[in-house]
Amino acid sequence: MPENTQENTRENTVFAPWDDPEAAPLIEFRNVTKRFGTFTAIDDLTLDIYAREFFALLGPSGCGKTTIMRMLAGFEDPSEGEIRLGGADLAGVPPNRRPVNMMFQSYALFPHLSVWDNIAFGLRRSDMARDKARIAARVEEMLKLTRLEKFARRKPHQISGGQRQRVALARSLAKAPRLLLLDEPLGALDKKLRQETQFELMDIQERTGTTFVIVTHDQEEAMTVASRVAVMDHGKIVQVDTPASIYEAPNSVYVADFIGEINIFKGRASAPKDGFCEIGFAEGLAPIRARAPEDMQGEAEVSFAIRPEKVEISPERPQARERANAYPGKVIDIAYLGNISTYHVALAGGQKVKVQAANTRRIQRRSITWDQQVWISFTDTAGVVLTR
Amino acid sequence: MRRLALIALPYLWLLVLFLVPFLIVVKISLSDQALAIPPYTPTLDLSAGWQGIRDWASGLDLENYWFLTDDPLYWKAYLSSLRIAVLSTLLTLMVGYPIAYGMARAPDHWRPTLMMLVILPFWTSFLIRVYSWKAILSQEGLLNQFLLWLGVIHEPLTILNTNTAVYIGIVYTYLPFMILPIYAALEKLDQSLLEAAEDLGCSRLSAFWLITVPLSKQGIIAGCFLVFIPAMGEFVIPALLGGSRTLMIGKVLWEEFFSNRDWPVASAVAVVLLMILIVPIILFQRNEQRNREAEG
Amino acid sequence: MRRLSWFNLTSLTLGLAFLYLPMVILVIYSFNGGKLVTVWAGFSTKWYGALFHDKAFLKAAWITLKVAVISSTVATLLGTMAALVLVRAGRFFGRTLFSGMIYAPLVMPDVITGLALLLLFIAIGLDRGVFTIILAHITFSMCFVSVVVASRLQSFDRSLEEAALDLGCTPLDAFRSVTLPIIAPAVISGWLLAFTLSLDDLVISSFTSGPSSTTLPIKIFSAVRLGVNPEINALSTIMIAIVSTGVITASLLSKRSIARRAREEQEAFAS
Repeated sequence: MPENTQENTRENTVFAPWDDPEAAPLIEFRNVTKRFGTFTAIDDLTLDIYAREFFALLGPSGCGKTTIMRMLAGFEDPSEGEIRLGGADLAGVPPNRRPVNMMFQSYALFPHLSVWDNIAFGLRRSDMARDKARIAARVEEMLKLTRLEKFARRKPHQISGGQRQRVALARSLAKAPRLLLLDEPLGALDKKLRQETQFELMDIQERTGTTFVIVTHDQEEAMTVASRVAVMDHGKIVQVDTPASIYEAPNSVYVADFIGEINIFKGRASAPKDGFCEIGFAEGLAPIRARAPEDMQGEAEVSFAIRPEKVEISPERPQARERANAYPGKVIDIAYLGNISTYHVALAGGQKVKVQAANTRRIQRRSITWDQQVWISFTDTAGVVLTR
Repeated sequence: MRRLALIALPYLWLLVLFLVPFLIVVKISLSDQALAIPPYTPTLDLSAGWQGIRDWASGLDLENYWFLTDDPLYWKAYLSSLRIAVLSTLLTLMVGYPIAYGMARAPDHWRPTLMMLVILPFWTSFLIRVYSWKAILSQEGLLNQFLLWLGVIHEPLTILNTNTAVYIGIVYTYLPFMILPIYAALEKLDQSLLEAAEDLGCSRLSAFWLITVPLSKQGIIAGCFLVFIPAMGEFVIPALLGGSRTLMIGKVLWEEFFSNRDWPVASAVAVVLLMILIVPIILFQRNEQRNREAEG
Repeated sequence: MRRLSWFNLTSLTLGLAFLYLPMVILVIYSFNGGKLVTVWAGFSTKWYGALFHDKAFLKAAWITLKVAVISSTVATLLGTMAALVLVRAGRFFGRTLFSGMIYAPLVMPDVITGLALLLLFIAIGLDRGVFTIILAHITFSMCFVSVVVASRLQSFDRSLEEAALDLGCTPLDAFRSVTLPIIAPAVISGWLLAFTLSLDDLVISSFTSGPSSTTLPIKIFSAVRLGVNPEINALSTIMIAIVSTGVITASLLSKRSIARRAREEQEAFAS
């Protein structure tokens, strides 16, 4: 499986400049605020992005992620604060003087120019403007990188959506920018093509060593391609971390809910004892035992969040020693998705819990069916306790 | 059956009242002038059978066309019409493009109003709009009064009854025809294309030349044809604003017909004018077709 | 929110001033007391009075109106049929010729069309008068109508008609109850276009009119050929007033209905 090998190489080369106090960031946002009239699009943002990163800005539409990108490209100026690139303030530098290129959401391919001329467009306005041979060589290189050699003479309307996406990528990469901005780069493609293109993007990012900043509202896409993900809400960054940390250790209900599927139990947590607390979430049911967050002191109103795949479902009550938390319930819905099945289980208190189980054997869990009484259970470290 | 009726009615109407009249014009342009009313001979006498048709055909010749080449009045009038039409088309483009551009760049909620303001003159009488310049351009007219008051000139300028007045009249009356197609093209222009050009190193001005102008080309072409073709055959504007020395073929045709009552020569003038216009008309329709296909 | 740059603002202001100043001046001077159009001699409406007592003008105005109403109505009928043929009829013998005959009159110089029609009327021995003017006006304005209606028909969703047929309409019934109401705005603007073209036409009317069928534009043209005429200023002002009221009302009405539609859609989503 080629996907797996790629995944492994990424894991093996430990690339984590954000953990290295010596590393100098490529992009620095320092207390940046952007207002449009009375509307605050970006609210006091401070953020570092490092060279060679594949950085994803993730959030629902209107959260300010596109504004961040447009400020980097130079189409908007911050109302307050400063943005630095390689240590130099970007204020007042027009878009055409920035070593930053952008791949537009609409691709913005010039309809009157061929694929070749679209890619050469930026080069003709760079320091190699007079060197026709170098431009040609660079364009050919880009065509090869994006596998577009055969389409060089075509106009944008004569190629497919996926090919257009690659032309847009080639055009923005041609000038070898220090930073490439990608605004919903795969938004216009269908699902299958999207998944293929995600790996292609990662591959090209690694081969060219360019810093990529991608804007997306698709959490799966952000998780797949990015080295770090920033989850945004209403002009603020809620959490910045690697995809794995964001998934396993969300810092808030917002992030937990935004990334993937999750069960939330709202309740009151007891004061932590030996690093664990107990959360009462329903009358007549035993409290959930879970690892308390480090900053928690005394009792608190909390949300307990647990991923569906970390919950076990069984017809019988499991052994209490292995699974600290176990509750009886009734299956109200089953969704068979091929590789996995999702069960919706209603607990006695009315709380509904989603459980995901892998279908590793051909005929598995045949025994569990609609309206059946079952047990759900999870360990005391399977979920996270969120205080906000 | 119903389909046939649907096609036949407008088809026959246009055949009888559009195509046949042109064939008559062509035929008369090949006939001799006679003093009788109708002032041309010979007429086709179908009762005489094949012989009648033969007589009719033998009566046709190119005499009227030779006459057009003989008299310098005619080819000078064609050339002068061509010059006036081309120049005023370019002037209209120069005046109209910035207006169309301003409209396309205006805030969204202004655009319907601006659009209506540009279209409104199109609905008001063409004749009246041309006439309104008479009071402005005459010797004692408002423009001269204004310039004298400013102190720019000391003697009133003669503008009315010159070619300058004709240029002003054409630019004024045909301006909406130039603005609307260009505006339509500019309005469709995706703003992110200009941002992409800037992102790739263009200045604002070079982005305008490299992206905006080529992408509004279809609108420019359509607008130029819409001004050039009718301007070429214009009669009202030279008749009201031009002088006795303003030579335009539409005026010549009118005078040939109403003053000299020389119908064969008038017909020959019309046929030659049509020959000159047929190329731009076909080019225009091809351009329109391409636009429609590009949209579809 | 985009703001207009000073360049765009200037070009818009100058452009609109250029378009409107001559007409504004014309309107102002129609209220001039003096006979000289260029010298202001106090406010007066006497030229309007004179105009309404001028029998020849009133007669010409009546003929013009009659011609415009009849010709634009017939032209709308024929033009809509022609549009249906252009968009719907598919292939038939002489289709290219047909679409050529629809598009050519749009750009044909008036002097040629006028001359050609006159020679036809003489050849078939038709006496020139109101009837020949009407025939001529129908011929050129039906082409404008068909272009306007055809462009609406092109964007018409055929499945609406198919749905009507599916629900039991005959083709004619489907056309009347589904297609026509949807293309109605285009048909109406086609009629208005034909109407104003007819009101406005000087050259073709001059060729095809007889001695007793002088239209308003012919009258105006002979009056202003030699100079400025205050009565014509008054007449022009009336015509400008009628047209602008009509156009502005129509556009306000359509704007209102668009706004109402948008509001209703929003409410539908909200509920």
